[in-house]
Formats: sequence, structure tokens, C-alpha cells
Amino acid sequence: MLLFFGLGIFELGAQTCCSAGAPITSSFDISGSEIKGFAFRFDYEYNSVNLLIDNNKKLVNDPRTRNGQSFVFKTDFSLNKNWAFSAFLPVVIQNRTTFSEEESATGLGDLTLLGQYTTYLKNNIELKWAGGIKLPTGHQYLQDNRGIVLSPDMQSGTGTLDFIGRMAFVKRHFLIQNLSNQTSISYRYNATNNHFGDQEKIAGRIFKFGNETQLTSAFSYLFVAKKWFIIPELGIQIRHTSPNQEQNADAPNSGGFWLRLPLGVQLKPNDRFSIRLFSEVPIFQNLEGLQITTNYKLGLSFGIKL
Amino acid sequence: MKKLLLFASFSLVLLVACKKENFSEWLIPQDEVQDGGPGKDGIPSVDNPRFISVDEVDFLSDDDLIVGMSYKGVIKGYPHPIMDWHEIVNDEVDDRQIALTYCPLTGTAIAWNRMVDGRTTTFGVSGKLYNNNLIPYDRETDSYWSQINLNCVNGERIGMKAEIFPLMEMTWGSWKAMFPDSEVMSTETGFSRNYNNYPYGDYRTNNNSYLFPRNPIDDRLPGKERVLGILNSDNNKAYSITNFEEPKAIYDSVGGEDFIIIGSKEARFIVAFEDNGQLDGLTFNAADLPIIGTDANGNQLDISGEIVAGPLAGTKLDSPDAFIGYWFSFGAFYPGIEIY
Repeated sequence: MLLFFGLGIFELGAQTCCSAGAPITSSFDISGSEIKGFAFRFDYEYNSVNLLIDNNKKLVNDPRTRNGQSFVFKTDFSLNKNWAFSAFLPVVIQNRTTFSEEESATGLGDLTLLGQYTTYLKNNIELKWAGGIKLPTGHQYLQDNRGIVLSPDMQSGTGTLDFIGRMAFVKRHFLIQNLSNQTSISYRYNATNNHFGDQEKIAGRIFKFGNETQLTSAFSYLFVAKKWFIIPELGIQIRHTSPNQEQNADAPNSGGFWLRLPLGVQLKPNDRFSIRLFSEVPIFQNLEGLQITTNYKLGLSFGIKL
Repeated sequence: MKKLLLFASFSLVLLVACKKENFSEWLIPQDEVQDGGPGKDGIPSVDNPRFISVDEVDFLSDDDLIVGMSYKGVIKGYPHPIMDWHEIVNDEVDDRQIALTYCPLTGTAIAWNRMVDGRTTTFGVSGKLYNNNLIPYDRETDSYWSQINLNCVNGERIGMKAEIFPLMEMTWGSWKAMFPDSEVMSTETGFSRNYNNYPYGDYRTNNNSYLFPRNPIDDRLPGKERVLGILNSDNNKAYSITNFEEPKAIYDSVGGEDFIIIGSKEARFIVAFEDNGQLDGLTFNAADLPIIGTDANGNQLDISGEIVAGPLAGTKLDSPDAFIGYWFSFGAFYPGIEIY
């Protein structure tokens, strides 16, 4: 049982820009199912993007409200004690509201495929390496009611083949019994979409989401209450994205540095089922120019291992 | 009664269908209209602008640009550093109802008449762009307009032409010297924005930086060079600020009509007036701003087009449809436009 506790710790891969982006915040972490066994997970996340920031200063009177929701279906497969694989596919809803408009776009997101190799696994320590790709399966031509293709951050997909790399270090029974720490660093290289919104037309818009680096360190503690395992989680996350690019030039008002506090709790009636409630709140950000950014995230996750 | 209800229902269906049809029809290529991201009114227009005196302005440097209007003795200035964040100001200048529309990506400031079809409306920022240029919408009918094309391109008022008013653009240093008693739009817009910070990085000077596609691309001049475009039916002509390294008045014709174009690169203004033959041999004269020219008969012309001294004093020269912007936008909207 203890082999798997704490692995729900945060590794958020949000792709955001000035106005949120496709909120694919599903965990990059691969569940530790039995060898040659499957694990399935369903995540729901609500991303409220209503913090108006000018560099590091909070502004008021933004006429916009913005949010994104994602439903992520994830399948993990453990081949042996070293190799595991994961695939996840989101459905994304983007909402943008001003006093004169309510815009909503829903679509299938991009499919992510990951492979993970555990290089060290003893003395309650794990060192894991993962790499993968994000395939352009999502929509990039969702339109408004006048037939105009919505901006890239309102689309459910990016239309590009992107690459993801990740390294994670896990220490169980860290300092005290039942306390775990997981520290990970991930990098996402986002490719350039040379035909954004094309759909057999020549719009000619060239767009690239900024590359993203994320460092997360989180602690979790295992309690047992009435045969249920309760695992509260608390961490710190540093995130940096380079500016987006429009027409091959850096887009103003995009990219920056974020410091966030992820927190959550996992409930497990046994080793096979898990329910997880998680959230994320910003602590500090220093952004390029004026951007609206996440003021909070809330999520719910259900997992089952076979 | 039954027939009446049937007729009413049919009319309603027809009305809804027509309304939908209006939104599906575009006068510009629909697939080249881009969604900028912030959404409709996500960039907030200023609908209740406040004004302060020149002496009270502490947020502009002498090199900042300002665009303004002089009408019936009222002179109002709208600084670019505020317009960069709001793009549209709905205002009144004496009895004129104006929408000062400004696109930071094409660098174009154009004043539109808010009286459309005899009814006053306000304009807002639709969040859509065509060829990098602002698409304002009128809040009365939700029709979308093309700023540089000067017409309604989608919605109930499709095809209608915008009536524009002449503007002057120059540096703040020149403005306060020319119009020390003018009113200047204040940063008290109702929104907290950092008006000291230009929101688009190096965009206004980087000739390789464009946020959206340009079609067609005309590289005869550097993309971000500021030019005055005179639009005269299907004959259009661009006058680059570099033509006015030495401040001067140019007599020229566009589409068979004669114009006087006066500019100064240092003060960063170019203005154009219809040449009705009354001014004889106008020469640039900046000794007594806002007077910018004196002709052979002693007539003195100010920057708003009014002859303020001399035998023709009190005469106001007509202005053509003309505005200043980045060169690339004239190349894209008026393909093949002649360059002076």
C-alpha cells in the first residue's frame, strides 16, 4: 500500500498565456499500478483567470472575466518496475465574458503520450525520468457566432506537436514516518503553428505558445482513519514561460514568472480507489506586461487501479 | 386572428433570419478577421473622458504623441499613451459627437461621427482585427466597422461609410507649445492602467514585429514608418514623415484634386488641406505656432486649417479624408497606394 501513497502530488502542466490557454492541468505523474497493470483516472479542473496583473502589480477594473474547465481522461500502464506509460486526453471548455459578450468554446483537446523510466528505486527513494509528446488532436478552429476563428487561448488544442520532459525525485518517510516529498522539474517545448485556424483557408496566422519550465516540490502525509487513507498535500511551485510568439516575433503581454501554492487532499478507501480534491492559489507573479492570470484553480480527481 | 398570428410569427422568423444573415455577411475576407484575445470590450473604451489643462499634465514626455481636434474654438487632445490602452474614446467636441478611434497596431487615429443614421451611438472595441487593424463596433446595432476602410463591414449597417473629422497629430512638446490653453484627456479614465508603460514592447519601432498577418505585404517603405495617407475616391497617396526632414509645405495632386501637405519630422506632424487656389506660394513658418505657413499675400495658416491673419482671415480650408498611421497598414488596406 505504502508503495503508492503520495504519488498524486502535483505536477501541473498548464498551458497558459495572457488569457489562460488550454488548461491541460492533468498530472504528468504516472500512477504506480501493479506490474503489467492499468490505472485509470478522471480529472476535472476549474481554472479561474481573473487576476489582472501589470508586471507584478495587481490592477482593478478589468472588464473581462475568464475561466477554463477541463475534463481529462487518463490511462496509465506499468510494464515492469522500471517502465510505465501514460496517455491522457482532455475535453476543454473556455469561457470569456465581458459586459457585451459571452463567448464559450468547447472541444476535444490534445492527446498526450508519456513514457517514464524509474532509474532508482530503493531505500524509499525513487528517481524517475519521463518524456513524451502532445499530439495535435484538439480543435484549433472553434469560431464565434460571426464565423470568426477564436484566438489561440480560446481553442481546445494548439495544432502543434509539442515535447515534454520531466524528472522527479521522490523520498518516502522523509524525516518522519509517513511524510513524503516529491520534487520534480518539467519542461515543455511548444512548437510553432504556422497555419493557426487554417481549416482549408489561408488565414496565415503564425502562433506559438511560450515554452514552459516548472519546478514543484510538495509534501504529503499519510493518515489512517477508519480504514481510510487520508493524504493531505501541500507544495510550492515555480513556473516560468517564455513569451508567446505571433508572426515569429515575441508577443507582448505574454510569458512571465509565477510562484504558486498547490494544495489538496487524497482519500483512499483502499489501494485501488482514490479521490482527490486539489487547488492552487497564486502567491506572487512577475509577468511580461499586462495579463490576466489564474486567481485560483479547483479540481477533483477519481482514480482506479486494476 | 389566426391569420394575424401566423403573419406575426412568419415576420418574426424572417426578422431573426435576416438578422442572422447580416452577421454572416462580411465586406472584408472573413477568414482574415482575427480574434485578438481580450474579447469584445475586453479593451475598454473610455465613455466618460475627463480633461485637464496643459499645465496639469504630468504623465507625458515631450516625445510622446498626442492626437487632437480643433473645432469651434474647442481644442481637445488625446494622448497616445492613454489611447494605447483604450483604443476608443466616446466624446463630444462642442456640438460634435465623436468617437476617437485609435489602433495601436496600425498606429492610426481617426475621429468618427457618432451620429449614425441620425441617431447617436457609442463605439466599442470588438476585439477583432483585420490586417492588424481595429474593428470598432457600434453599440446601437452591434455592427462591426473597419477603422481604416472607414466603413461598416458586418451587421445591420453593413456597407455604410463612416463620416470622419480631421485630426492633428504631433509630439506633446509641440502640442503644449501650440495649444497651451487646450484641454487634454486625463488618466482618470475609470480604469487602473499604467499609462507610463507602452503595452506593446518594441512594436512601434521594430519593422519585423507584427502581431497578425498582413495581406498584402508592401515593403516599399519600412513597415513602421509613419505616413499620412490621403484617400480620394480610388486614388490614394502616402506622404512619409521622412519627406519632412526639413519642415515644408508641398503642393500636390491626388486623383486630379489639389492638396497642400505640410509637415515637420521634428514635431512629428503632417496635415493636409484641399488647395482651393486661395493660398499663393505657402511656405512653412513655425515661428509663431500654431501658425505653420504664410503665403505670398501674408495669409497665415494654422495647423487646424484656419487662416488666422491676412486678407483671407477667417477662412477655413477643407480637409480631405486623411490620417496618419504605420506604412504597412496603408500598403495592406490600399494596395498599390502611390507614394510621394
